[in-house]
This record gives sequence, structure tokens and C-alpha cells, in this order.
Amino acid sequence: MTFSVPNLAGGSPGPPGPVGPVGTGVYGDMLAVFVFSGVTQAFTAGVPQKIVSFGTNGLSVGVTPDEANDRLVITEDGDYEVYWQQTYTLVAGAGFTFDFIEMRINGTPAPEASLTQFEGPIAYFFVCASAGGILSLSAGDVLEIYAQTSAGATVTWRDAQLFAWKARS
Amino acid sequence: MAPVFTVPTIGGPDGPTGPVGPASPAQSYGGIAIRGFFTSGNPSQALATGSFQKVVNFSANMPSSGVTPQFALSQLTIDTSGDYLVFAGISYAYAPLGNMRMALFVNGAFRIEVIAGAKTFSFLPSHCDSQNVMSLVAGDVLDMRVLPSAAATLLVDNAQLYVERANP
Repeated sequence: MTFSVPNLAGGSPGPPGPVGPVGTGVYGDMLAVFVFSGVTQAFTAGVPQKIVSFGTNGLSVGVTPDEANDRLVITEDGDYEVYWQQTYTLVAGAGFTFDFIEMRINGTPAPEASLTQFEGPIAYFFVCASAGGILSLSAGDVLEIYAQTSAGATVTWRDAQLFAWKARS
Repeated sequence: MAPVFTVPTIGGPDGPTGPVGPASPAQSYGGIAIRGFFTSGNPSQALATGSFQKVVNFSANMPSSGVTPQFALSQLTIDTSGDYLVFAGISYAYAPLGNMRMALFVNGAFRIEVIAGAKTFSFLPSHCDSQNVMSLVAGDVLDMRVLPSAAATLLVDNAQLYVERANP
């Protein structure tokens, strides 16, 4: 007697699954929004200080915004568009200019994305300063904004943005 | 009567995991800058009134891909057609009292998409910038030009002109 038994090994493997989604972008930003208030910061002539006005972490993927320390931290190597903006008014002091308002990478100035010899405000009037550029950055790089004044002054930071957006290369 | 054996049908194993998705398409980008050095300053540029004049003395190329920055010529060239985010910013001192407009020029022609202006007063530093999305084609040459309200000496502390393609 002959028994016919199907192949218990089963059929052939199914087709491969669908291709995964296209990779996401890499970006991150911080904000400071003080429509009717601000953060004051005193400057001593000729002494660079980190701007400490940031108070809100924005959207981020692959970039770490750290508003508590007023900085962005890069987590992937690449070329990035970077941009910052600071709106400010004068609290005390007069007749000064900013020697610079500059982006620093790990404490080193990035002159391609910075301003030098920038105007100090007249009391109560708003001034907007901004700069951007494309920079090659590495994982672990820390982005911060520093300023230095030509004379002692107290500035109120009003609105600010700092972002990094990785270019797809 | 012969015995009947019923054997259940057994399906094959699951297929393998699908391949990793494609890399994000490459993106064209690049720019030029006038780097600021407040301790030494940058070269000045004499400006006549009545027409836009090209900002010169660019001092650095930004990283680039698919765009050719040429700071020595104070211009950058688009290598791939597409829609681009274009940023132009300038920080400067200028005399005499007046106003100055900054604009993007493409192939020597004024483009209305990227333009801004600021006051000028007794060499007090001023700043303006503008950015917009615009269509550019391969071979387009971009530069930054300024129009003063009076003949002037322009001291550019910083400038940036860069592009980033929106649709890779």
C-alpha cells in the first residue's frame, strides 16, 4: 500500500517585506520668546559671555537641544545649515557696540556664521541681529552663541532662535 | 478499504525582512561668507549711488555639494536645477547718513525674492538679511549687491550668501 504525504516542509518563503521608509531629516532648534518680558544679562567690556536667553526646546531629530544650558549638541557628522537670531533691548549702559555676537563650536568662534562690530541698542528700541551659514560639524559638537560688548552694559534678550539642519549629502 | 490519512497543510516560513529603505536623496547646498574679525576689520569698498553694486571681499567658502562657491569671485554657481532656499545677509558700517538696500542678483539681474534694507548712520553698524525660496537652474550665478542712497564708503563686517536645495 502506498501513502502519498504532502511535503511537510511547507511552501516557499514569502516575498521580502516592503522597502523601509526614506530616512528622516536631522535637525533641532531652541527658542526664546518673551513678548512682554525678557532675560537680562550684564556684560563687562571686553569679556565674552555665552548668551543665556534660551528657554524652550524646539523640534529635534538627531540634534539635541539643551535649553537648560543654552546650547545645541550635534549627534551625527555632516554639513549643517545653522542659523541664529537675537532680538534685544538695552537696560543699562550706553554708547556701546557688540564687538561680536558669534556662534561658537566647542568654544571656538565660527566666523562664517557670526556678526562683528554690531550695534548696541538705544534705550527701549529693539534691535534684531542674525546670521547663518553652512558648517561641517561632528557628533559631539556643541553650538552656543557668545557676545562681547565694547563697554559695560545690561541687555534684555527678547526673542531668539538657534537651529541646525543637516544637509543631505 | 484503504485507510485515509489527513495531513494538514503547513505554510512556508515568513519571508525575510525587507531591505533597508533608500538613503535620503542628496541635496545641493553651499555658500560664501565674509568672515568678521572685529580686531582687524575687513577691507572697505567705495560705492557710487544710482545702481546696485556687487559686494566684494568675500573671504571663505562654506561646505558645498552640487553648488560651486567661489569666494574669490564673490559669487556662487548653481550646478543642479531646482527650487532653493536662498539666504543673504550683510552686517556693515557705512557713511554718510542714509539708507542702503541689499539684494540678490542672478546672472547679473535683480531678483525681487531676496531683498532687504537698513539705515546707515555715521558708521554705526547696521544689518539686514533676507531669505526666500526660488527656482534656479544649472549655471545660474548668484551674487549680493547693494544700492546706497548716496555715494558712500562701505565697511562690511560680515556677510553670508548660501543656498540649500528644497527638492532633492
